[in-house]
Amino acid sequence: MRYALQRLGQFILVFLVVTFLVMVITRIGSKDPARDLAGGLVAQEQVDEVRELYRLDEPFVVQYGNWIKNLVTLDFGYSYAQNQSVNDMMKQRLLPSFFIGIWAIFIGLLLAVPTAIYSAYRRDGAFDKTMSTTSFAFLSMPPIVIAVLLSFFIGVKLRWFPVDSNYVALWDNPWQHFRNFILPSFTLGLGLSAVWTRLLRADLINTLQSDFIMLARAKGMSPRRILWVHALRASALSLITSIAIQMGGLIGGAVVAEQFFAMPGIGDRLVFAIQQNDLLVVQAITALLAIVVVAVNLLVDLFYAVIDPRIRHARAIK
Amino acid sequence: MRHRTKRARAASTVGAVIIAFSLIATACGGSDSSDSGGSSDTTAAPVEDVTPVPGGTLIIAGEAEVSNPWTPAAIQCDSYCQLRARAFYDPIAVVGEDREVHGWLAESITANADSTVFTIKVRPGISFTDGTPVDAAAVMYNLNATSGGLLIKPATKDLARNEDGTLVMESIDDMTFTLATGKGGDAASPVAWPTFPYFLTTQLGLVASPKWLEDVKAGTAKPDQPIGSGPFTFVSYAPGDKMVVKKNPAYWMKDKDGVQLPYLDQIEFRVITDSKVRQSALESGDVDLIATSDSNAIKPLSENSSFVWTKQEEYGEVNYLLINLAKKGPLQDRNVRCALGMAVDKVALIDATGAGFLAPAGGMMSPGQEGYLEDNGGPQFDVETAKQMITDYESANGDVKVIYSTTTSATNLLTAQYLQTAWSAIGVDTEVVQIEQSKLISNALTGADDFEAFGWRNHAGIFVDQQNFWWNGNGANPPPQLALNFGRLSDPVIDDLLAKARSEADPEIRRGYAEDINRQFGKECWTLPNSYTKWAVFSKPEVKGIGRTPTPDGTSTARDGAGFPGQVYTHALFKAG
Repeated sequence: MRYALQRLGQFILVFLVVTFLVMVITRIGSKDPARDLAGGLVAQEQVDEVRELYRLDEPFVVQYGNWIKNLVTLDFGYSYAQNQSVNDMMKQRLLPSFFIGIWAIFIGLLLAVPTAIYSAYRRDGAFDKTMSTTSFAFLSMPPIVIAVLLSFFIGVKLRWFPVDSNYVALWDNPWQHFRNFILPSFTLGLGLSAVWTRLLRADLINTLQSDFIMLARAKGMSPRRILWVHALRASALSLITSIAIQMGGLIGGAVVAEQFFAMPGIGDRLVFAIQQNDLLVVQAITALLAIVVVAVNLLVDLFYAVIDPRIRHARAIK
Repeated sequence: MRHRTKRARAASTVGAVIIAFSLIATACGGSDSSDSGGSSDTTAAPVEDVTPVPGGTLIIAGEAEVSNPWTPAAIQCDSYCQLRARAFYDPIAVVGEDREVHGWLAESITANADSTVFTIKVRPGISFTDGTPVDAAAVMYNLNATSGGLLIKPATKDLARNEDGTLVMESIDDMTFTLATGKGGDAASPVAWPTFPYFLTTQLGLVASPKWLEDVKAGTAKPDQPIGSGPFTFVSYAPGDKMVVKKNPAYWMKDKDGVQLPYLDQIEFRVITDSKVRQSALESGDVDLIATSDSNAIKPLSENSSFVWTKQEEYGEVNYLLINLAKKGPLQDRNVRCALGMAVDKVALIDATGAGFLAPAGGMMSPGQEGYLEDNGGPQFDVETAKQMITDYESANGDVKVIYSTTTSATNLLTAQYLQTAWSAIGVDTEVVQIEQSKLISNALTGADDFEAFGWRNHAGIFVDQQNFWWNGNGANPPPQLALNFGRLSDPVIDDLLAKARSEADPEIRRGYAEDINRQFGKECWTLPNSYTKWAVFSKPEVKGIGRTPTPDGTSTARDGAGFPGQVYTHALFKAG
């Protein structure tokens, strides 16, 4: 419990530092934050109104305090550049990015786990060597290249899935949801699978040499059970840590996937907002990202103890 | 401050074009509809051969999201915005294939003898989709509101205004009113303006429901849920993603066979900013129709017989070097400007950046435009002379350094790198700055410190009068005031010729003025033109009716891309088979 509270405290501190820095940087990088916020090409009176509304003449700390106060009431402000409340923008764009991320992780794990297990089990065999080369290839391939290849072969040539992706909710039409998300999710998922295959394979090889695995074998446990239950569980820590770390990176990758497949997600919007100095949108999205990344890492920290009794035991002794 | 009522308009990712088109550009960018493509297979089947099939949904993809409030006064309307806006708004008038102004909501537009007062009679029996009637009061309300827009006002400077800033208009009866001109807004100094009706075909002429506009002002209606009297009604809008419109079942127009327009039940307008992705979306069958000005997308699609290529290559924009003439420094010197022009081999530049697809520009008016010249006498490619001119300047004034700003696209970066190399060859150091498009426009508008030389695209249109407020010295407001005369050009010769052209009714004489303006640009090197833009609309073969929307008077068809290359009218589109 104490550990959880300690981590929660860290979570809040990181969130405050990150969001404050983002606010300061966006303000410093702007010649006239009020005009940027007002949308650029507007009359001076409108700029002055925005300046007053968001108290942009006040010190940063006061502006930040106001922003936090509004955040608590879930009022992220207004994007004059898009003529849309930031809340509405979030509602519109959060789910597409969420699903791209979730399906990318799902695809990554779906490919990585069996591949890593079999590669570790048949270490240095033909399959292991082939997969090693393949994962290197995907590791060295940026998402944009994967996007181009998927788009050209799967989208344009074979016409299996759309390259102009629409957001369709999973609960509205699962098949259309799948069709629209498959290419953007694969764009990110393939890269993730390569990282995770290598990571998990290395951990599994170590684990398979452990005493408890030897004991399990000696007791006549089936290789399948040894691999999928005992070895995998003991080797999953690095994988889970990597998933948590990749959450931040996924947003970066999502920008590519969203832009390339015209999926209206939050990463695409963040880039646009940064280019336009749409300050409140930048603050809102980075705040959200900070919450997601820190929260996932917090959960993972707590989850370690669940999957590895050694950690639970060590914390208890402490 | 109410967000929905006072939303400031954003810069958004509109092209340099954007503002350009909306304001001024009256009639331009003609589309040779259903023109033959690179091969005969790309020729559109004549629509007469196919009986229009009412119903169906069309998916159209365009290049930019203006992310509008969609009120005619506030939109910063590029061609894709115009395409969408004309789906739910009717304009007062349109340009026909015959390049004449045809009344749309206006039954007639007549000028007095000296073209200083225009009488506009509104077509009877039309209603907005909220049930309010389209009458003289509604049109006058819109003209007043729209002409006061931040970006429209400079274009309507010569319309007479009352003390409260409203236009001098007089109601004759329920359906008729007059509109007066006045030098700089002064009603006592009428201006002969024979080509003014063309302005009613632009953003100025888009008519929204006054009730809705009032509600928007009061904060009781949303500015992004437009209500007009157009062929389609608004269904949904997600900025940067898509807009959906459905058929207006009570639309007032019919085709020549008496079938009610529009034919389509619904249109989904998608925004796909990347031209290659837009191309892929068409190739994969995800969208039915796209518009593009990227020659790297036009070239391969034009060679693909699976699609119909509708060219829009006349009256388009010029790609050129826009120079901030108000900024102290070497670019205020004519010889330096001309030397920069002489350093550039336009053909090589086009080969490097535009797949060799564009035509080198010999002036500031594109093919078809009033004042077009194959060669306006501007600088010709001559590296040695250019080098000498720079050396001469530097010996008296010091080193020449140029800040060249452009947008973040790969093609524009390539252009920047080409120019950097070419100017380096004549001894000019160039700093390349890439910034987001709307910021680029904003910097030009306000004359920002770092605005020195910009890669720019602008000036579509038919008449030179449409360029008046871009080039007139009376619009060269000093920084940081907003100026649509981005370069702060103030040339008495050009100002005089622009004034003469505005008031000249004889096309031949006006053409002479326009050509002289073009030559003056070449002589002084006020700008450095590189190439003429080519636009294209590509569609699936089953998409019919492009360029076939009839004018209400039945004498012509509405000309696609008139003022806004890349735009098409959606009234007569349908899917065959």
